[in-house]
Amino acid sequence: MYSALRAFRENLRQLPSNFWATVRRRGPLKSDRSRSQAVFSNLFLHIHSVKTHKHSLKVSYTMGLGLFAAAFLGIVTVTGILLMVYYKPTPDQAYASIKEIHYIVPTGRMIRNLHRWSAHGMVVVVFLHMARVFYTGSYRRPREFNWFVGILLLALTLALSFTGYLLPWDQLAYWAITIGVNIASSPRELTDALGLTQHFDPGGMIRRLLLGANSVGAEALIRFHLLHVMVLPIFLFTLLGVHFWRIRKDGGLSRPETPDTAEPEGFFAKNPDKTYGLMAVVRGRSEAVGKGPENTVSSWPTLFITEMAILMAATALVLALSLAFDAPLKEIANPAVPENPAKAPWYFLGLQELVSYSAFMGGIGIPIIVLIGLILIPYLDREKGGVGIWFGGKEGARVALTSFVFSMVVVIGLLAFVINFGWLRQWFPAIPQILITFINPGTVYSLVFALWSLWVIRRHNSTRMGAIALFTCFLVGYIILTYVGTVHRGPNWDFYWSKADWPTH
Amino acid sequence: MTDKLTRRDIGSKIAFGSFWTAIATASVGVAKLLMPTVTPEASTRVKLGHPEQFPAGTSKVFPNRNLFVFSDDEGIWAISAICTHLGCVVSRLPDGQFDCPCHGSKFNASGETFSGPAPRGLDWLAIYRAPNGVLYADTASQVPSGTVWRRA
Amino acid sequence: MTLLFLLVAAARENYFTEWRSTQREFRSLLLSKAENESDVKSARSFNVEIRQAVIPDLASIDRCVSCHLGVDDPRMADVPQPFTTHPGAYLEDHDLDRFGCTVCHLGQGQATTRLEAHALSEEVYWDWPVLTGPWTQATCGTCHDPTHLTDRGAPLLGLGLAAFQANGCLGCHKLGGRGGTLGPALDQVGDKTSHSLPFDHVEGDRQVWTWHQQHLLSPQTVVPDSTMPAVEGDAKTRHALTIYLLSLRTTNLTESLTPFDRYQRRYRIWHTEPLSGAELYEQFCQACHEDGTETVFHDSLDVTIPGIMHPDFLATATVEFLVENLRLGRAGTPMTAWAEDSGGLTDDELERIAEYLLESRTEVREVTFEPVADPDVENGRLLFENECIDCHELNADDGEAPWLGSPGFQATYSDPLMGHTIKFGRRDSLMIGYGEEEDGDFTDRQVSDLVAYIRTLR
Repeated sequence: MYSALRAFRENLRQLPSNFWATVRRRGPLKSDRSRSQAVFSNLFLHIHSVKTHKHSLKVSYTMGLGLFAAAFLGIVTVTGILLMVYYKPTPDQAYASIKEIHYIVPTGRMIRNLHRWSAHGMVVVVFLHMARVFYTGSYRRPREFNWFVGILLLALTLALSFTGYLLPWDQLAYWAITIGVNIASSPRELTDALGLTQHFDPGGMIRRLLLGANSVGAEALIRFHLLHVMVLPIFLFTLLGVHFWRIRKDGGLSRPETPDTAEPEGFFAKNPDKTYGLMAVVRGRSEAVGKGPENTVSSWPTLFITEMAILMAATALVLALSLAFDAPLKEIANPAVPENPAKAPWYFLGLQELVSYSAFMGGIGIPIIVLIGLILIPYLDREKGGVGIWFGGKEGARVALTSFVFSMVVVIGLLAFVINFGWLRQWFPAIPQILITFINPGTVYSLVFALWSLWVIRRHNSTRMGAIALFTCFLVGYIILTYVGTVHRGPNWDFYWSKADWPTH
Repeated sequence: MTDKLTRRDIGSKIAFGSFWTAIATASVGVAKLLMPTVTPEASTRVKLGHPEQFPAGTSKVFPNRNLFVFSDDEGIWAISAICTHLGCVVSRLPDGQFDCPCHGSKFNASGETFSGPAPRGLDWLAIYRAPNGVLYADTASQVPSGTVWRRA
Repeated sequence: MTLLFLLVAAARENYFTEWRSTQREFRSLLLSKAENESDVKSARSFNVEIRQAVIPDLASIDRCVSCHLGVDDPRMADVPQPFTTHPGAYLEDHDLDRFGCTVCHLGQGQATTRLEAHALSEEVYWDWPVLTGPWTQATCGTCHDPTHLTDRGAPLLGLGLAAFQANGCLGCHKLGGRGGTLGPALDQVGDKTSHSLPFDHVEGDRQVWTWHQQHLLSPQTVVPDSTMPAVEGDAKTRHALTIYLLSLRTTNLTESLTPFDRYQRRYRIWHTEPLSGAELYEQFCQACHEDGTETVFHDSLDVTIPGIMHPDFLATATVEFLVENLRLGRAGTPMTAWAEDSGGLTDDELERIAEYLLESRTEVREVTFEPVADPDVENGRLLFENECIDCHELNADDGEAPWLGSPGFQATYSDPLMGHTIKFGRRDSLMIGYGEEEDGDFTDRQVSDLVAYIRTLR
């Protein structure tokens, strides 16, 4: 006889297991099917495909750089939200609140260090990720747009890092932002030289827009704070969603076109159990359909263990850094006492080196040309083949190597020349600014690199080779300039072999 | 085949296990951050002054510190002005009674509740004499009603 | 690995901190110093926790007391730092909970390690290194009038001001809008940090006081193109002058924290002529005492206010007696103590008020009453309860007549004066003369008994 009371008792007894079952909605992970379900029945996992190509898991191919970037972003987001609990974005209180976080807030010092180091880690890794994607030719069809999204993400990463730089309101922050904003407002150099500033002043407009005033102050702090904690993250996460979604839609990570990717027609349809096939029914070249069983593995658990491992490795790295080095915090911002040298954040020091030749070219001209160049690469290099292979093969590797040597020689040579002998202004003090704006070491580099890559295109009869040459040159140039700006530039932007040689002032 | 699978299963169990342990440990740190141990507020210690400044039969109000101090021949005692109902500040009437403006609790001259929703009488606060002879009251430390700091 | 790092971080933050071990040390010091049961009890209840003085008015959070745990404990006078008692009487006037530490000593109050709190090292990025010993006198001058402090805790500061004037510094430097224009103005020169001064040619520590002392000794050595002459005087003069220069800092004191002498200084600038006794009476006394000629009952204050200009009261008064009464006031009654540290009037001003009051005197009477040698306090009590208590109640708040237990009354009324007043009373008031034939019949012995009893009131 049915007893509702007994059933109720039984239900009570089974409550925990039933509840857990409704959460998981799947059985033990013994079959491909259940492993697949583990992925697509989980909101947080289902951006992954249920099967992953073995090539995509090869450490030597991706080096997990994208995942590292995502891991750092995760750490930065969590720690950033935590810092907002105590941070007060007003000039009167910002510095003191950072001090409170450092000295008194439980785990506050650690959290701030983690935030700082993983933000820097993210900048580094995002650069490397871009280089990896470039050198493996992964920007090619159908991934051109995702490359573009990636460039935007790189710009957003830098912007986030830059806006966060001001928030501690110490001397380092104040002067770095002053410099940074002056770089951004350097079109004035050009308009001044052309006598247009009175009528049209884009540099001044940018500065006012960024600072809400003419110099860094309370208005700038609140704007940077808003950008840092809200506006830029919204853009970043939206674009990141697009970036991830596009990876799936563009057929997963790039890989060489080997025979195993040929589509075995109707392979999955034969087995109605494999419902993940339905998930994978998407337009175009979805690789989830195309995978042969011998070259894919279930995403669960292989891919997730890899992802966890990378998250843990990233965490361990920044934890170690945070234990060893405190995030810098100098004296409270003092508009009357400039830091000497006043340096921008390190990832802009390459720019600052260029800016020391010409504010407009270094700060706006060349960066914009480079940015546009980067965005256009997939549309200018439409060759096929070599996708998913580092440097697209031996020839590319050779071109990259020669370009590396070539640009090293050019950059270091010209730099040494400029440091020892100066530039036009030292020789012809009365020279018009417009000439310096267009003829300075920065523009010389750009021109030489451009000519070099044109020559490479001709010689190898391949736009891909030209792109590799150009990209390598700019990468090397940027790294060397950043290195020199960081290590070898001292007070008054003079060259010093080490910080120990700086004059005591 | 089965052997291999089992090893893999154990491997992934270890991987997931250590992952979640690390996440849990980190979460402890995160939770700690949210709970401040030191708050940026003025001290709960209120300097009252030397005992001679409290002649018998006098009362003194420390309005910014929500504190009444009374004295008689025997000694000195402090009564908190914070209503025990929901934390409003009571006012003292000429007859010595305390009234709470928020929900109408009433307390007699020694802080005992006799009307309204307050669950207990007004708090009596600890008074102690620092080594330098000055009396202090601590608004964070309650003592049983009737506890008087005795003059030597 | 990640786990390990997390645990290391946790251990570092929760156990291996400098202030924790310092506080544990202090706890055992307290135990070793304990003399009785209650000392032991309070030593046991000493918690290891961050201690701080939070001063919203100064926007300061001073955690110095997390290590300097004995500053307000006289028993720690001979204990070495960081537990030493604060020397001098500075803390008496500058309550720790009201002023904190960094308002005088600078340093980094928020910090929780010795190195960072003192900020004397160049590795510590903090603009204001801690001031110790005589250097602390500089910050005295930031709030106080230096001339006021020469014999009150900051002798070098006064010396510095004197040297500043004697050297004719104002000939070239402006200060407060007055001074020459050859050198830079010295307003807020104390705000300069070591980063805003050229240290190329300075020997020794990179501290502002090192710079100033060497600059005063030989300006051209420190600033090669300087036109300033060297300051005359010895090392002590330069020390004092540096203290004075460092005292010229920006202050943002709320009115409630502004010291009395600074008000005075401001006041002197606004009023070249000192206020007369009559003006002072008008501003400070007449609100309660009105014209002072008769004793009145004040309705809203619920108290009897003596007529302090009544000739009969003034007949036995002297300037000293009145000044002392004004200084001490009547604790427990609305009568304020007008001394500098409470009511804020100088002794000069109080004297002028007393002299003004005495202008209304029409006769001078000697205090003729002489108390007997062996008064009977118990009899005095009985007499008091029979005759006096109706008006002079035992508690300050009650009673129509003045409260006799007030410390101010007890301090200013001598036994003869008290007896004299009981015997002859106050004309035109409710206080009759109890020893005069027509009003009462107290003998001198009875009056003496009463006086002796009144002495026990408080």
